[in-house]
Amino acid sequence: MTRRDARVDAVFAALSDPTRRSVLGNLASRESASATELAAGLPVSRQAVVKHLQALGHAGLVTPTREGREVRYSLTPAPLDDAVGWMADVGAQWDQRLERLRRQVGTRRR
Amino acid sequence: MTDRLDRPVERAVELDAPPEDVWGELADPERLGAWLGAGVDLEMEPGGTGTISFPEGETRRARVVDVEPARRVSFLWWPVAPAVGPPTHVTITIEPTGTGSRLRVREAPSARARAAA
Repeated sequence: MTRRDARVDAVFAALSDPTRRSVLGNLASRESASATELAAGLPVSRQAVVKHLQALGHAGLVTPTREGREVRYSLTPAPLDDAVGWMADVGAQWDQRLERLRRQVGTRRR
Repeated sequence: MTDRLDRPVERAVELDAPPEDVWGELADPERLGAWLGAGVDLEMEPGGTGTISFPEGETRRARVVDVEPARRVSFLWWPVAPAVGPPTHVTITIEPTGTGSRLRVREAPSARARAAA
């Protein structure tokens, strides 16, 4: 559970930046892209895009592949499933707790 | 695809009591523990720290970030046993309604809480 927690934390940290979310959205719509191609669609430099790609790579969300002189990046969405799973688990826990709270407040009022 | 992950987990419940009464369910560790489903040893004041022990065996440390009695509390908590994990940021708000209160909970990994601050 905790290893997943750490992965989920890395994913959320990676997704906390709007440029990184744009990069991911862009990669989701194609097989792969170079940093230059990604920068062309964003209001930031190629260097900045490379840094964001490194952060996304650290979270396991993109995988770089060298093709000749170029590095191409593709989306590896598995860590997103962990993050969605975390949100579902935490949401279910709060559903249970808030239902207990509702009953507890009701009992106290009677 | 990433849109859903751009938000914290959010839940809400309608309660049949005014915010001042609902606050007791948060500020009193015993009453808080009863609905959290855990043993709570936590001082509900800014900077207050404590321990929350779940019967399934998980123990979390908690640190209160800020408190507005009858309105809002936020705290960080993180698992310390059986294994240490990253902190998440929980914010609970209470607002009056015509018939009682609405209590909202938000929980987000603290990296995002920091980014949103």
